[in-house]
Amino acid sequence: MTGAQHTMNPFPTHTLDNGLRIVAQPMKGVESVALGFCVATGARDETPDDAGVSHFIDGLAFQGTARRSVRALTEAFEDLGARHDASAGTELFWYASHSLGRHLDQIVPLMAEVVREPLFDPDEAEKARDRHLQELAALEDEPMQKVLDVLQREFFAGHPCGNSTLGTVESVRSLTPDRLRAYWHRSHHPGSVVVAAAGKLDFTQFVGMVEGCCGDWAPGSVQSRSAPPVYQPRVAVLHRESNQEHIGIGILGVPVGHPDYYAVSLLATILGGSMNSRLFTEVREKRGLAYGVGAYPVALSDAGMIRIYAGTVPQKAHETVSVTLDELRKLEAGGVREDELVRAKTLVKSRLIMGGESTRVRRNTIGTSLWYEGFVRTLDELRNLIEAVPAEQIQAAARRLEISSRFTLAAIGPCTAEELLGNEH
Amino acid sequence: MSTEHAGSQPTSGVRTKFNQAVLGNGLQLLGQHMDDVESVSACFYVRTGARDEEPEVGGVSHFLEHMTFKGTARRSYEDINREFEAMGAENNAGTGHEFTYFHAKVLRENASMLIELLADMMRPRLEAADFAQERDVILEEIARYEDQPYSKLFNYLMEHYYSPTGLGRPVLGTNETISAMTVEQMRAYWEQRYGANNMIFAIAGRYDWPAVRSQVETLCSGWSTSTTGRTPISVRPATRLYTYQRPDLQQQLIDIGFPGVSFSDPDRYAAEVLGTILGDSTGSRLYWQIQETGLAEAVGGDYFAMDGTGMLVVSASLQPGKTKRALAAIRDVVSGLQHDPIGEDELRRAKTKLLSRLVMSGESTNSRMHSLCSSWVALGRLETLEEEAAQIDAVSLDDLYRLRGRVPLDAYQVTVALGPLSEEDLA
Repeated sequence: MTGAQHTMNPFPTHTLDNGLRIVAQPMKGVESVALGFCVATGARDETPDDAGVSHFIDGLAFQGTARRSVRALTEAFEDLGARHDASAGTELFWYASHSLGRHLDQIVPLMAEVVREPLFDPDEAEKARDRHLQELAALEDEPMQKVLDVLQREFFAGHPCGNSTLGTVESVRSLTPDRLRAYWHRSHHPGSVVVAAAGKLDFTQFVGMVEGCCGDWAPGSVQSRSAPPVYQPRVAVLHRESNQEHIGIGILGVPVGHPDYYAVSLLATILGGSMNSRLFTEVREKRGLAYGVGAYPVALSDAGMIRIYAGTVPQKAHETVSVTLDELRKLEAGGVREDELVRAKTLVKSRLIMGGESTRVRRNTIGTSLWYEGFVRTLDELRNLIEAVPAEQIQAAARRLEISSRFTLAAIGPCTAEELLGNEH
Repeated sequence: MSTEHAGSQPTSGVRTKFNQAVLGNGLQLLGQHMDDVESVSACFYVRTGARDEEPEVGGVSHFLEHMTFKGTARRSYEDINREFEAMGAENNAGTGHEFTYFHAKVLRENASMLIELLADMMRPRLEAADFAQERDVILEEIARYEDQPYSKLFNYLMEHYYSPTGLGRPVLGTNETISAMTVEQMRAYWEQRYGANNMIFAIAGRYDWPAVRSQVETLCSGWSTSTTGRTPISVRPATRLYTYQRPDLQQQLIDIGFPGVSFSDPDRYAAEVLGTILGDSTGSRLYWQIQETGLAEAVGGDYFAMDGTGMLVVSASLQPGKTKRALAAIRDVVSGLQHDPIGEDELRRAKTKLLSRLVMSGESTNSRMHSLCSSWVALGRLETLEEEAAQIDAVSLDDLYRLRGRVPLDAYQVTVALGPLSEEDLA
């Protein structure tokens, strides 16, 4: 072990000789520790033939290792009272656990075994495939979720950033254990892994534990990632008989680490991030058009989107869309008021600080930050960055991103594109 | 005038610092201090919900929950939302069959602003114009439920398990009850149920108890009282299958309700353990025998404990082609839990899981605040994590056998099905 830099640093980090990175946040006043192996791979790294392979693997991740049957592995976690979970996203894959801090020395090697020595047992793979296909079927029954998948696909049309983590029925049917293994070998290398822990822990001991079970992991070549997507607005309306119209509108956002990152977060918050936001007020409160409406920023390593959702009855769908687009126009033309900016800043800051009390939230934040930006900011630094955003920067970003004219619309329900948009497009 | 029960109740663990007091009008104050956090969570918890409504005003509790955000004598709707946002609050409200709560989490420096706002909201102005407008939002919410098969199915289960009692009616009400409701009816319901003696104020996190107590006393000691308590419920539903065929759905969803225990039952911890052995999301009997064998996409089971009643609910999401087989297998698993021996290792694992989850979930101010309310409502006192842990730890196989002897799982079962299959397909 080479000199871990951890004195006084709230987020000590350490890199093993094979390139695996370790980051931690020791926390006071908690008994638990959240641990995660964050691997730089996800739906955007899949080929069309492999679509859904990351999620397929997350469904198999805890179903046995080279050394333990699925039952033995499950019982090993249960004997420690630990929760575990694997989840594939667009560009990051997390193997995560939550347990009491005093069991960390047993959890670290167990999790390393899960990450490094997957079994890909053919029988378990068939069961995982079955569950995966059922999940695809269930998505069809949940249009509120489905419309977000459709929006992502349309927004990034043709680019792998638009890949659904679920893949397609055809691809999931065709995945074989060999192909799973090939994808695993391509994506899982020490250089693509960040091991993050937050909670009750001692960093020096933690580094020792990780080194003990990952130090011998041979480095490999880290997979290269697709070029950034180029945005082109689109409209996709899926017809479905229903008494609800589910509407997703995507506008350009910015990637993680972009100089406008906090300006765009604040923009989304003012637009639809709270019960006092413009969309909530105009769509729900003043006009009673939709029960659910909101805006949420999505940031990837090289692209971003602000996702707007509204669910309404078909008769009010057109008005919902046109009020939403009006709000985008107003924001772009008139910018934001000082009082709403102050409130949005308070909201974004206090969400950060209050989220900072959960070991799982902190694990995700420090692991993701290290992967995206190479460092972790303290809450004070974040507070200052948010505080420093002037109103002009938000309007400038809205103009540069052309939020009112370059939107992508996705919808599921009885309405046609003409009925939804009228002469808006 | 407030009565101090115990400023800092002595407890087995050094880390639990409870506060409690009761105002002259019966408002119960509960607190748990946490040293190492920056936030405070606070709530008003009203001991009323859908089960306490007259059938013709079904949904009034939930509608009223919405109306508390629409304005008070001193604040407009905009003021309320602006103030929540100005203090960076994460605020929410919820209505169930047995409770209505209003809670928010803020940074500790904003605690007194939050308490003042929440207290004011408990006295909403309930204006006719706001009422008429909010009615549309409620009707939208009801319509939206049609597109949420899981919630829909659970409503059906409650209906068939608990009708004709209040627990059998939907929390949101129906198009008919909401459309017909008047603001006068809502005001009357508020008078009946929102008295100080039917409410709890709870706070968890880093706060100054004397300041909190005197602020709540200043704000709330003038509140009037109202009726408390509720009609006891005792049902014995018939064993039956209720099918809701929806050819447009892909997945077949099933909920089954079995006999259960109430949240004040002396065997409640045994029930938690038995429920974990049966239906926990990993490592349970249903997990190994139904989900891991590929019979179900997802399956789980747990005790659903309420005031004076309860049920054990098993939920499954199934492929239509496997549904009959899965259903038979689920019933076998439940019957096995009722009649076959239970393993020491199963007991030990279930307890280990419950114990560590208890500690892990107790780390947030929100979950502590909710625990204060639920433990007060169930037991009339506060329980430390250590006390809860000791009771889970003490559960033995004999306790599980006694529980299933007292409340046999095979006495009856109410099955509801929502999905592409018809009654004949399922029979």
